[in-house]
Amino acid sequence: MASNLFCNDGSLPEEPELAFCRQTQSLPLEAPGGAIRTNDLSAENLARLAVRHGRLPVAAISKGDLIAALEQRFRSELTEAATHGLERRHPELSARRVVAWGQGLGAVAILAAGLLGAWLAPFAAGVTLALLLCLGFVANALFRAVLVWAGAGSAGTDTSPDGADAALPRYSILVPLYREARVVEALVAALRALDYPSDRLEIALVAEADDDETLTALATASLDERFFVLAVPPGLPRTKPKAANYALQLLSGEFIVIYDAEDRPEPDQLLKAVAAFRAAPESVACLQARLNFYNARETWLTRMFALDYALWFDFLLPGLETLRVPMPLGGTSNHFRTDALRAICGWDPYNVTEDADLGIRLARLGLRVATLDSTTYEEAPVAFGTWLRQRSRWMKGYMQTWLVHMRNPARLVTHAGIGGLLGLQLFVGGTFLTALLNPLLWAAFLASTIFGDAPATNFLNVPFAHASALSLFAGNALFTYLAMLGPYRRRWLALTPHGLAAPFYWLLISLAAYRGLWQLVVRPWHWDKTEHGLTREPLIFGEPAP
Amino acid sequence: MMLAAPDVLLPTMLLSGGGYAGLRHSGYESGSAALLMLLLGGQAGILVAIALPGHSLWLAAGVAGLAASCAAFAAREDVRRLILFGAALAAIQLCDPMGALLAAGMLPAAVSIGGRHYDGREAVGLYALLLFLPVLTAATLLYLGPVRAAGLLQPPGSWLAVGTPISLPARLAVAAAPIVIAAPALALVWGKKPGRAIAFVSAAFLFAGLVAAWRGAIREPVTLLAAAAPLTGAAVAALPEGPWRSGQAIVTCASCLGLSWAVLILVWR
Repeated sequence: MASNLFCNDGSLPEEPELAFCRQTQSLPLEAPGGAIRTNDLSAENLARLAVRHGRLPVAAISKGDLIAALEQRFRSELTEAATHGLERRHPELSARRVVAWGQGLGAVAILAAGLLGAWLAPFAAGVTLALLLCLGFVANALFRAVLVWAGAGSAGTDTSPDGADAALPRYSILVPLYREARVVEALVAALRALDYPSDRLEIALVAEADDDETLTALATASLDERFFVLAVPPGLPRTKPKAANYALQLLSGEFIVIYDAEDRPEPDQLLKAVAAFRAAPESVACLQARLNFYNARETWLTRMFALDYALWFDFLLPGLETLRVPMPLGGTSNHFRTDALRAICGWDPYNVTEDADLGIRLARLGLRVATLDSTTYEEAPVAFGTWLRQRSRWMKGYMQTWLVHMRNPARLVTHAGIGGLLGLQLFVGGTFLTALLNPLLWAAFLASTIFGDAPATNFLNVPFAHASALSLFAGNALFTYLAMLGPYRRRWLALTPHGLAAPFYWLLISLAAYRGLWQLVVRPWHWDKTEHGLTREPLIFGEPAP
Repeated sequence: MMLAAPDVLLPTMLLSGGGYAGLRHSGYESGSAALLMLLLGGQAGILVAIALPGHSLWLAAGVAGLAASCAAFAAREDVRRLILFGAALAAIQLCDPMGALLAAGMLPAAVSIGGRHYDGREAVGLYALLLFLPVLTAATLLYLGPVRAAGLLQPPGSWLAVGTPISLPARLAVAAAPIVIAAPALALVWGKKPGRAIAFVSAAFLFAGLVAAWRGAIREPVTLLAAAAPLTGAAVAALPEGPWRSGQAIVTCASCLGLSWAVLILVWR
């Protein structure tokens, strides 16, 4: 039953009680004939309540009290659905299982074939392997170049406001928090700055029940009636998507957006999202806003990260949108039609890049993601250790996402088309495969250069030397150029020359990829938390980038 | 006819197709555009290169690409036009031995060509973007030096002679000849914003030719003169809209055509 609260595919004959309470913003009747307590005293809502409960006295209840009471009443159901909803409804799409049996057998078969080939014909096997790896590397680079070209011509969604205040729908904001006491005040200020009617906005700040520091900071923060705090009961997996799923069941907005703790969205982002949803067809279930950093100029690492993000959100994602290739979402500032989000059972609590996975799952349901011409500014990790942990998690999550959606490639093609399959290989798979390959190509090139024709490395010299050199330089040159192009759309030209250092940055990404691969084996669902509030840049809202 | 020669057929197709499309895109009616293409194609450098062996139209094609991409970038500095401008600066090096000099001659104007003001750091960033592809191409050509010295991957066409006993004034005159031919068209757009890009390309072309001539090399004359046609075409494409635009363009192209034959006869004599 609990999974049906969550994965609302309409197959049940009756509405579950929690769903009804959420829709009518009311509490379950404490006793037959008792008063109906509701936060929505509109005639339409009262009529709905009367149909369900009969003509009973009605009493008002505040939003905060309503949510607290519903949470207390349905806590176990909320937790169960948040943790197991997707897994129970669509086990084939859950990352709870890292590798499917078929995938494991396939990997063993490929490895066995490779070893046999290496034993029988080592030179031919070496050439074949070298060519395949280099082809994949270059193909990924070329695909990204095509995406940049396509994205450069993208006009974006129509975000011109339409209609008066009265027409604006209810909007829910969801912000999962874990050990974020340092940034609570800044977060609340950023959310209060959002330009949207207060009576149409609800903001859920979702903490973990045993995170006392964050809960204390929330208790002392200047929250108004739009805000309410949820405390997710401790339990594994302890992940952001699980917390988001927990809150999703209590949110009543027609649209939902998820933000991170350190986010500073542009104040008109919600208005733009509403306009964009209304201008777009129903098949557009999600809008991805652009992300970048308010502390981009702080260190070399933050500058490289800003270049990375500029290319990703200003070109690559719009390119995916233009070419109708399934789009892995960024982790924040995803705006959803709430019904569509429930139809795909929310986020996968076992996937550490639940956002990327969600974008692919939307495509499998025939739904699309579009980009939103609005920016959310975040805090880029300043310390290398923080950056490495975050990037390792992303790499691990992309591996999880690829493995999940490649369990049945034929079904993926049926759901998302050939474009979906190719996009998954080149964009999702290509992201971590190029990161894993890059140092191997460098190593092969350096070995052949240093050792030349030495017999022990001769098998490297001929098959790998030329192919690796060509792929290395062509691929890295192309990636470098794309990195330099990234900030152009924002005219952050002062950042452009830093793109020349991109090959060094990618070696760090390769390190993160190997760390992520190791974690996939030993700790697949572990969420390496990114620390926030460490920047020295003043948090002046709207400050232009470098 | 030497139209089938590789140094002539493909660039002819590029010049005619691209030239026609460019004129149509700039607002000329199909009839006017076709007539203009005939007048441009009738210039001495183009016709002689098509008719007689030993010439190349790659320099003309490269100049056409450079002029078109430069004008497009000047009109709107978006990403796609930035990429195409950089690619044209790279490609000109592959089209002709003079290409690197021509690309270098564009550098001083490249950032300011659209008329936008950039501060120091922004200008450095824009230069980095514009120069990436051409510098990469130049580095690749340098790396492939031994391969190219063996006769492979040589840019088409050739220097007529290095250190031959031709006087410096004569060499400089030949180098400046394409600009003289295109002068009537260039004069019409000089000083106007749309023509600024064409003026820069022409100035860079003159710079490249004069430097090469001063160093004792002279480009094979017909190949050099053929570059006047795309400069003329780019200039008439940049003419402002108006009731007399087509007539003005036709008269100008006819003048340039006549000049081209007069200059060719002078050069050959």
